[in-house]
Amino acid sequence: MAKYIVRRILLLFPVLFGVSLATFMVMHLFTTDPAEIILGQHATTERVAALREELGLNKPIYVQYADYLSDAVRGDFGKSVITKTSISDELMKRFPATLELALAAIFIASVAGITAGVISAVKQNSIFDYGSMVAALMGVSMPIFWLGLMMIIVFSVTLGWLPSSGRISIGMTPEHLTGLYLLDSLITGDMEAFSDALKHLILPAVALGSYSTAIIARMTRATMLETIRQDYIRTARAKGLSEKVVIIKHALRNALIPIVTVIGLQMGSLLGGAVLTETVFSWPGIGSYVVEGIMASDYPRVQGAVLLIGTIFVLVNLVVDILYSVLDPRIQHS
Amino acid sequence: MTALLEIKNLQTHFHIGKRVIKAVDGVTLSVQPGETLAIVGESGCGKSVTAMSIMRLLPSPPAKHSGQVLFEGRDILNMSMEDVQNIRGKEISMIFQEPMTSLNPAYKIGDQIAETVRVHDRDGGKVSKKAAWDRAVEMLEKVGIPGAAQRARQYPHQMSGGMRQRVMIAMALACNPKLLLADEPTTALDVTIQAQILDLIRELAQEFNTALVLITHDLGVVAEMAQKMAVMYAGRVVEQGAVTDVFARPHHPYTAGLLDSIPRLDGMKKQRLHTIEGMVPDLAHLPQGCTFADRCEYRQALCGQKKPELGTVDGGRQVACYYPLNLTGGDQP
Amino acid sequence: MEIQLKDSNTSDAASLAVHKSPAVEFLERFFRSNSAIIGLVLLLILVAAALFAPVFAPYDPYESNMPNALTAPSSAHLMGTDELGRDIFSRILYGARISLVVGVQAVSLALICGVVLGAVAGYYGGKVDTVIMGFMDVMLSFPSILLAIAFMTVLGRGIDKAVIAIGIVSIPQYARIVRSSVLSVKENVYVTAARAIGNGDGRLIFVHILPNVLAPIIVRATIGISDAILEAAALGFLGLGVAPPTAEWGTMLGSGRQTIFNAPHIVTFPGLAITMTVMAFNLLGDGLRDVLDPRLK
Repeated sequence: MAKYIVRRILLLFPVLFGVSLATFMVMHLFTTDPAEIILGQHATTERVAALREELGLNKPIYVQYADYLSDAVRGDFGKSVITKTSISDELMKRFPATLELALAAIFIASVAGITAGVISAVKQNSIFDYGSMVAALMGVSMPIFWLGLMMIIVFSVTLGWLPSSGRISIGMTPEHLTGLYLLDSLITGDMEAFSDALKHLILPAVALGSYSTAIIARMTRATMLETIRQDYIRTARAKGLSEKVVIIKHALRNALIPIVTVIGLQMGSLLGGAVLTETVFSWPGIGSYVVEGIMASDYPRVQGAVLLIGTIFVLVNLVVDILYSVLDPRIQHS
Repeated sequence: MTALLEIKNLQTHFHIGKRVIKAVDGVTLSVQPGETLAIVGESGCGKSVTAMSIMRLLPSPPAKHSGQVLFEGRDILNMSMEDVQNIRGKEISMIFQEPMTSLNPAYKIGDQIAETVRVHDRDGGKVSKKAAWDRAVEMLEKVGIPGAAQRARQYPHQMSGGMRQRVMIAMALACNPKLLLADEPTTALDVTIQAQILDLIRELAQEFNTALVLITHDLGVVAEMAQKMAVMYAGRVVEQGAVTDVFARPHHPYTAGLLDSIPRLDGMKKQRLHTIEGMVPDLAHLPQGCTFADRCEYRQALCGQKKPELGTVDGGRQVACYYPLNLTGGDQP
Repeated sequence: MEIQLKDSNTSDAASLAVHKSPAVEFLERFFRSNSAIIGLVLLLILVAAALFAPVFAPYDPYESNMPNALTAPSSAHLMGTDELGRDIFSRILYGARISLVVGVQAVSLALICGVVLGAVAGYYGGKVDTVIMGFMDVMLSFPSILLAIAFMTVLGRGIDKAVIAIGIVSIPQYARIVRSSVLSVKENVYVTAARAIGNGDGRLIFVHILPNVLAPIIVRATIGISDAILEAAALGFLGLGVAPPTAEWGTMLGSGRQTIFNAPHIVTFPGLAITMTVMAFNLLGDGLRDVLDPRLK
């Protein structure tokens, strides 16, 4: 077990190296001149030359990559060409917002998806089953940015229940401890800030989690249907366990292995979805940072954010793999 | 003496689409405390469904029960699910045909046995986790698993089929049930292991004074294990009685046919094995008369018209046939 | 008991199927699958809308009419008008062309590259496999929409560029499926036999191995089209996809975003169109999976 984890962690390095190289290459090799992209086609030659100098674009490409990598390893992603501020600082500031949104989304998706999937499987072919499977089909087919817009129309514009943008109302930001507003406001006991942050979080988290909810519900239903037909479920009933214990402790526990894998994979897709959701809800996270960077042709910004998201994605997959091996005692790691 | 288990005209029908599969269609049986009853028959005759019906283990729908299953005088078929759950594993236990898949792969076997102990401790959790675990280890010792304390910490996939069936037996007997249902417990095992497991079941049933209902298609096993036997055919009990009597003088033509089809090792009869001609009837379209009539050498007009009920003949023997064979004093066909 | 019932059912079905040609059997099973039929019907509607957009569209999708901007749905404008007074219904009909074309082309591109890379990796194994799949793993280390965004940033806007960006980021999925399928058939007796009678590697891969792994690829590609359409819409929404004034659903959503407070219809209908299209391919893919390869379920 420990050996397996160590090996998986060692395998991280070549993958992360590949990730950094890919990010670098997309930005450098597929374009003729990043400086020109940044400044636009009508910039004067002098300005382009000055920017090339500033960005180190005159050096050979491998030297540029080596510089970039050694900076990135030390947590230095360079400076935004527009605002001239440190990209790492900005990413650090925005990371908790994306993390909070993603965690809320995966929490909602897991709870709703697993619950719906289990009930659908136990009551197969019931109205609930059909209803939730149609809803799941909608969930995987709807663009999340559209769902976000529709929810804003219904819950913010028409009903006025929930705010349509931002993380928190002006002046209510809780003291910075973790950067997660829900957690920070709880720790400091600022319940007003907590409920305000929660209200801001609900719509984006539901929108972002909708696709994952649907995927998790489908997966849970399929694996539960298979699991509840197993002989050991009959054994569990024959022991005199109540139906609730049979379903949750015996069936769901075994169905959990593929479900957890799916949840882990969804964490990855959430990071992609965050780019869209954050844009719709003006959520000040890494996703909206990327989009704003693109709009401003601020390529070091895009490069830094993409590298960060890729790295998180790889780390999440590692955690899922390890969790998988903990959950399934049958997996032997030689 | 009151019977421990008394089944009266049990019917278990599966409603699938428009079809009705009469898997069990009129089973009447009784088991006294501590005795062993063997239920024999070909596959598909309703033996397993009968056992599952006793425990109410069949999903409903599609399964529909009627008749009575009286356990110590209380009808299990009419009980609330909660009452049934109190009986399962505590009063009546079951071991299954498939030891490889009957244990939950996600839990240690010790925990799986301990769970049975703890769930039936309805007096408010007096059995500590530790005590339940100790009981699990004790049961593993009883079923002859060497190094029980270590083995209890293993997962099912680390054990062989024979070992797993021992674990199932330990789990089934952990709460000292009054009745153990064993559904072909050795069919899936190696021939070399089969005898060991049967011996173990017999010994432990005796030690715990547990009545045993043993479901099998193997008449050799019946002779070795049981005092009483019931022969099933197409969802009905066609003959019931003491094993020695039935073997000596089978009354039902089907039983006679089954006994004739056992290969003899003594080499006295060098004739071809007897086979019963014809096919088991379709359970969705049972004939109006005796279900065995189509295959019966002794069939007469009456057999095709009305189903014979299980009736007592010859002092205590029961048979469902209008023209039973080998009656004492009767004609020998 | 139940097992026996099932056995008798399947043997019935099997004995019936023996006398039919595979195509007839496929069609019969296809039309027994509800999701396949619903998906197919939705798809036919969409294809008709795309093909006959000029016939069905009541207005020119590009003709702006500022005095008539942002009007709510009415009998004159079934789905209302957008911020430039253009008829949304007409634009949605024309938009079907773009979504279908982008979806199909992007998947075709990904499929061609993915099949070749996956087949080569699976067939040759060793270093070739390590290099190709290592590359694929790196690509899979990014959320695909993020990678597509990165590509669009450097490629610039346009339908063809969106096709390339989405196509490239979907390659790894197909490469993975093909590779694992090739690995599982590679050692079969019939492949060994084909090799023994002197077939070359290329012929072995494309004539003897790939046809046997077609089912999972077709299913994946069908569902892949829905992913591609969603991604194209997302790019359009972010202002990175097809450039205005082209009637593309995602772009329509993106430019309508500013006005949702006073004209919600402007984002409602393009979103519904995307949802319906994506759902059509999802249903078709689910149905095909049931029909072609029940084990995949």
